[in-house]
Amino acid sequence: MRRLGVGVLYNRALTDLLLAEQLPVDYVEIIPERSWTDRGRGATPRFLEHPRDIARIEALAQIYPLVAHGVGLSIASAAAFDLGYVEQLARWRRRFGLCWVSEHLAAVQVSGNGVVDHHAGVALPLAWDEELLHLVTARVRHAVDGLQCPLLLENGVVFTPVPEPDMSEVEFLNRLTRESPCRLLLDLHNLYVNSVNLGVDANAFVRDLDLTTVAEIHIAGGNEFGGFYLDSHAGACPPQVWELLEQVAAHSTGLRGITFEFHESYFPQLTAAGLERELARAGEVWRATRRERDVATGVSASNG
Amino acid sequence: MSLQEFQRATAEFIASPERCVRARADFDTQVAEFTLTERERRRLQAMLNDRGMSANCMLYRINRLTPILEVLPRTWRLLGEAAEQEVHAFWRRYPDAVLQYAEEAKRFGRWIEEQVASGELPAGPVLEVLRLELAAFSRQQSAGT
Repeated sequence: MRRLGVGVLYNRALTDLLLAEQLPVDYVEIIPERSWTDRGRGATPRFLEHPRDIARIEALAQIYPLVAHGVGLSIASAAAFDLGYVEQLARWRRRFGLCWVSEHLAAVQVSGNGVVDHHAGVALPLAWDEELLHLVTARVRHAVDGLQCPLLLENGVVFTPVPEPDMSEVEFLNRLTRESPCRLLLDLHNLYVNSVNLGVDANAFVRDLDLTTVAEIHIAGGNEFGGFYLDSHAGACPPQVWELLEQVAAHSTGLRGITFEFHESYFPQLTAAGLERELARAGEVWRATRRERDVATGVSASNG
Repeated sequence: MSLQEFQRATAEFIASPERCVRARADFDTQVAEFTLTERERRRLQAMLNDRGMSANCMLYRINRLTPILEVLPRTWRLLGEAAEQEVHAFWRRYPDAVLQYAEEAKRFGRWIEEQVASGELPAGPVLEVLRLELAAFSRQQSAGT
């Protein structure tokens, strides 16, 4: 896996800035599902690509290394695993030379009672049980075989934790990365959201997590709505996310990229200058902590 | 099978705040259709009584409303006070989410057309605006650079 540096999650508000190379980014992260319509398992053709979006991705690929951040694999659904989806991601991996593919450690598809592939509309709360661990580790192996590139899974936001788990979320993640070829996409804003809404101790979380398995970090901002703090990608990162980033990046010896995410609807408030500030600050953390990562891994400072 | 049922039950409750409220009062009746272990029943009951369940229900609605507002903003405005009632009726009829913007907007568009045809909604410019917005979005997606 290449060490890339600082990236941004692509949205349409960024097209001109990225194509004009006006942002301090080393790579671009794309959401494949925004560029195709999935007509569902059994449909032929199943995936209808949107020519305008594909043209934009092809143009970006001429300038930047690309990584993919999928939202539709639903790897933690108890329903049958969607290997056709993995094949589509693998096609895109080859086509656009994706450095890696990340997905959410999430269940969004449900089946049963005569219904197959019913989309739940949200990521369902997960039970951190042995049963789920076995399910996901087996699927990660299948997915990595199919993708022929690293697969990263992202920690999520939860509003109603599932009680009586077999293990903690951190223990689940540590075992998942130990027992499968999966790497972690550590979303620090998701962790912050859980700390605000549920009182999760974010510092203890990252202290107990095996940070050597973290290959990518997501940073973002959010806002309050309906009495909850949401992972709405609403603009600049809160100070707590920066503090976590500085703490985590230094010890994440396998870190390959830090990606800033924002939703395009918030671009007028964020502004291009604000976006540059977020990316520049992430770049400072990347460079400041690189020496520590290099020392920990015995890599020459001039290498990578 | 049981985990599959637990996930299905969780999804169905998140899609229906009304059912969550009913389940708080009469849990056994509301979960009778799901094959759950005792632990899963305890889990589900605790989650239904957790204040965070309202956030789940709210996010479900935000996620389902976003494609409609993105693709059909003028149709939504023209529906006026009927819009909220119609979208809730649409969700009750189609509880499975389709988060792909064009597909969800088309489904909602068909729903509105049916409502007009059946006399539930008055005929008028809303249908013309609906068709125009769907066509414009389709063209936007299919155009090249």
